[in-house]
Amino acid sequence: MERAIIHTDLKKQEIQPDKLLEKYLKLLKDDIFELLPIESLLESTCPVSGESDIRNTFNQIGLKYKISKTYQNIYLSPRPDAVLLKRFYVKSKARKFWLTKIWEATMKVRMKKIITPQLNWTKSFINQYCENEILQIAEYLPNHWGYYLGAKTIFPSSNYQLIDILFNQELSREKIKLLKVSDQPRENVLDAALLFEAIDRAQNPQTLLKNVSNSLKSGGLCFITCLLASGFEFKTLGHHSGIAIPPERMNLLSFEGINELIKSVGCFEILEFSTPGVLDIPNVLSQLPRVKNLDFINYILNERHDKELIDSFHEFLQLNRLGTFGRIVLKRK
Amino acid sequence: MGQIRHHIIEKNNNYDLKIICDSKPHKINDAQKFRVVRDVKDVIESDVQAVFICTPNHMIPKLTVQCLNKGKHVFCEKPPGRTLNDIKKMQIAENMNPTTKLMFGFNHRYHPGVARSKSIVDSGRFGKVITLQGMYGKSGGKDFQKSWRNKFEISGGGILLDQGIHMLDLFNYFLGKFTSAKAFLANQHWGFDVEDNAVVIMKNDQHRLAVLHSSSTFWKHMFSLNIYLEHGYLKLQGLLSKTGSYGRETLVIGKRQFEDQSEAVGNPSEETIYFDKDLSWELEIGHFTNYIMNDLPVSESNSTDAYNAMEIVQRCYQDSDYPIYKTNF
Repeated sequence: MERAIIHTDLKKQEIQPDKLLEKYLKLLKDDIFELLPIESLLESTCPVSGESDIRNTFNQIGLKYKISKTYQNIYLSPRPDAVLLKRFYVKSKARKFWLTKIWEATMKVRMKKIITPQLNWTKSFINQYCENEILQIAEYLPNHWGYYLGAKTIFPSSNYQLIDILFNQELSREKIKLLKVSDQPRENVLDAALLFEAIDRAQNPQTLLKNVSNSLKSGGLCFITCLLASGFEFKTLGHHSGIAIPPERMNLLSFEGINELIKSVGCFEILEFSTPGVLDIPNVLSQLPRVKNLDFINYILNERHDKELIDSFHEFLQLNRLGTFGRIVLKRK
Repeated sequence: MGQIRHHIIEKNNNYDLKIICDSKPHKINDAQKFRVVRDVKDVIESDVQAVFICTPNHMIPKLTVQCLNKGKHVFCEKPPGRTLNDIKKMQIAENMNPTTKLMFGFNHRYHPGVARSKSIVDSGRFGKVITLQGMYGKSGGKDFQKSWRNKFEISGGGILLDQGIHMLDLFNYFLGKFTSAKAFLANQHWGFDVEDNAVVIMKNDQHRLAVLHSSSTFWKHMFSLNIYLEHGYLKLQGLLSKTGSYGRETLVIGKRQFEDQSEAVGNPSEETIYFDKDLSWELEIGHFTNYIMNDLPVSESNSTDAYNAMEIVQRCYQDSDYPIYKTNF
C-alpha cells in the first residue's frame, strides 16, 4: 500500500479566517441548541466495532464525544439519526454562513490548494486503473458544491453525480440547484466513489462503505479523505484540538479504526493510505499554551527555532501515517 | 530471469506449466510437476501454446522465430536479440503467423511509479513532456567479468543493451519518435570489449530532448527518471525489487510555480509518493494472458516497441568510436 507526503504552502488562515470561523462556531452553538435538542438524540456505540466500552469522553459545543476502548475512535454519542442530521444541514444558520460567507471568501484558495489537487489525485489513480472513457463518478455526502465545480474541469466528459447531499441546494449557484441528486446509485455501476470527509459526516460509516462497495463495479475505486483521531493533533491536544466539531464530525476514526472498518466491509484492497496533511503543526502550535505537560513538543516546535527540524518532524508525521488528515484509495475486488 | 518467470507463471491460474528447458536441469526445483528438458527442440516440437524465452541474447531470435512458426505465443525477454536485424527477423515471423502473440519483457512499464507517472502524463495535467533525464546503473560485482552479458558474441552489447534498453523503452513510452541519437561509450574500468558506461543524448521530431547515463560502475544500484513537462515535473527514484537494492521506489510530483504563484521560485510544492508493492511481473504476464485469451493485438511491449528501443541502441553503437561495433554493424 503506497503512501504520500506533501509539501504545500497552504496556510490555515487562507481557508479558515479567524473572524469568520469564530462567527461560524457561535452560530453553530445556537443551531445545536435549537435543532439538536438532547432528547432527540440517540445513544451510539463505536461506529466500527460496535463496542460500548470507552476510554474517555469530552464535551464540545454542547454535545458529547466518546473515545472507544479498542480502536480509540472518537464518535458523537448521543447523536442525531440520519433524518435529523439532514434537517440540521438544511436548516442550520451556521451551515448557511459557511456556504455563503466562508466558502465565498475562501473559494479561490480552496479550489487551487485543496479541491483541484485532490481531484487530480483521484484522476491519477482513475487513469491508471479504469479503462472507460466516460466515467461514472459519485460523490457521497457532500456538504458543499466545491468538488462538483472542480470536477467539471478535471472530469469534463464524465457523469458526476452527488449522493445524499448535506447542503441546502437553494443556497447554491443555479447549476447546482438544477442538478438532480439521488439517494443511492444502482448496484455495480460506478467507476469511482468519492468520500471527501464523508465518513466523518456519516450517521453510520459501515452502512456508507457497504453502499459504496455495492455501487462500485469490480475494479472500481473508492477515494476517502477523513480526519484521524490517531493523528498528531488530537493525540497531542486531546479535547483542546479543534477537529471535533459536532455534528459535522460524527466520527473521527483512528488509523486502526479505518483499517478495521475497511476490513469489516470486506471487498476492498487498500492501494494507498497516507496522512499528507499540513495543518497538524500549526494547529498544535496555536493551542500549545492551553495544554500542560507538552515540554518536549513545545521545545521541538517552538523553543528550538529550527525550521529544518520542524520540516523534518512534519515529514516524519506524514511518512509514518501519524498526521491528522487521512487519504485512502480502495479498489473494489 | 527464468526463475522469476517460473514463479510468476505458477501463481497465474491461466497457465499450466508443462516444460522447462534448461542447460542445468538438476537446478530446477519442483521438477516432478513438469517435464525438464535440455534440448530446445523438445519445447518447439511440443504441443504447448505459449513459450517464455529467457535465454542469453544470441539465442533469442532463432528460438522466437521457431516458436512463432510453430504457432506458439511467445513472451521474450529483453533485449530483443543482439541487433536490429534480430528483431526484424522476429517481426517477419510474427507477421507470417498472425494468430500468435509476441510480447517483450519491458517490465519497467508496469512498475507502480512508472505506471502512475504515465497516468499523470497522459492526463495532460502538466502539459506535454519537454525533456527526459535517466540514470540507470548497477554495481557490477565479483563475478561480473565472467558474465555472458559482457561478452560481445553472446550479448551483442554492454550495459546500454543489457540494462539501458529498459530506460530507452521508457523514453519511447513517455516521449518517443526519436530521430537522432548521439552516444559516448567507455569501458575504462572493467575493460570488456563492450561498454561499461554509455551517455546517450537524443532528440525527437518535435525537438524534445532526452539524456541517459547507463553504467555498470555506479557501485550502488541506481534508477532515476526525471520527466520535465510544460507545467510540472515527475521525478522517479528507486525501483522495487526482490533485494531492495535499487532503493525505495518513490515518485516526486511537482507543479511549476512562478513568482505569481509561490514565494519561493524554483522550489515548488511537491508531493512524494512511496510505493511498497511491486506487481510489475504479475501485471506484465496478466497483459500477455489477456492478449492471448481475448485475441487482442499486443498493444504494450510489442515488437514495434522492441524495434524502437533496439533502433536507438544500434544508432548509439554506430555513432560510437568503438571498433567492435563499427565492424559488426
